[in-house]
Amino acid sequence: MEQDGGLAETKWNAADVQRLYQQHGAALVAYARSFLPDAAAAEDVVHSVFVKLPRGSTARPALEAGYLYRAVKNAALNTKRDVARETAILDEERWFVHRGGDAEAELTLQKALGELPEEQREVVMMRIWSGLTLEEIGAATGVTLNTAASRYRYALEKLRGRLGACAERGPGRS
Amino acid sequence: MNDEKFEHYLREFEPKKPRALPKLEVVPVKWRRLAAAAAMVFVCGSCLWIGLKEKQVEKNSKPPSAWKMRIVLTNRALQNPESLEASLEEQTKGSLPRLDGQESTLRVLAKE
Repeated sequence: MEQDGGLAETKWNAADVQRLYQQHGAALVAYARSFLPDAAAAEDVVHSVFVKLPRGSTARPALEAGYLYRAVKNAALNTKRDVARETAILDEERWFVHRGGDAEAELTLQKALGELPEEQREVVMMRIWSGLTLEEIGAATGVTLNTAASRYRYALEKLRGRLGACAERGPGRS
Repeated sequence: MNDEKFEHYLREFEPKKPRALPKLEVVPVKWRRLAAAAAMVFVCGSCLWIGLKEKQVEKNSKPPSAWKMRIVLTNRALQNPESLEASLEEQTKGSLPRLDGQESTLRVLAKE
């Protein structure tokens, strides 16, 4: 897990941007997909955020992953506004791949994430797929640790409600 | 299923790998400053060059000075006076009153 706290360098360099992309790129694309129905548009949004990092004049934040989530969210919302489309989760386009190959669970997770309130979805994505601590999530989203923790708890409850059966039976046993 | 187990289960799902990031262009600040300085030098140089060129054109288009003309005409008068006479005659045709011919100024005045 990445330790983002403490002093950070003042500027972004290409190697760090590549490292962050390797670390968080996939999770950020999945996060962008929750705003945009189009997979290519979601990738474009994430790319645009990363490509701008070394060009920009802004200093590197201490919590890089949190900053990236905020930047991707803003860019995705702008794109969504520009194309003036309703966010609809397309079943045929997967955001996730299950290690055990449970295709049904992949779709169920995707739908369940799409149905979560935005603030709960971002907490669970930051925690599970980017490995941020609840404290870091609180700092990134501008809420207290308790709020972040309760959002996470609610999100897990809802996801468990939807995915519990898939988790119990395991892949390929429908 | 408890929270820990469920979290572990969720981590079995991996977000789809996106395509590689395009090549990042990092232009160091030092180069940006150099580029700005070069652009300034280019603009100033261009202005200076255009200014000098205009001055030169002005200088070239000026009529020769009076003393230069005097030398040229004196030389011509000494070397080929007939040609000078003819050329002066030609040049003054339209600007000076004529004293010869049927409708010369003198004849017209005499009639009056």
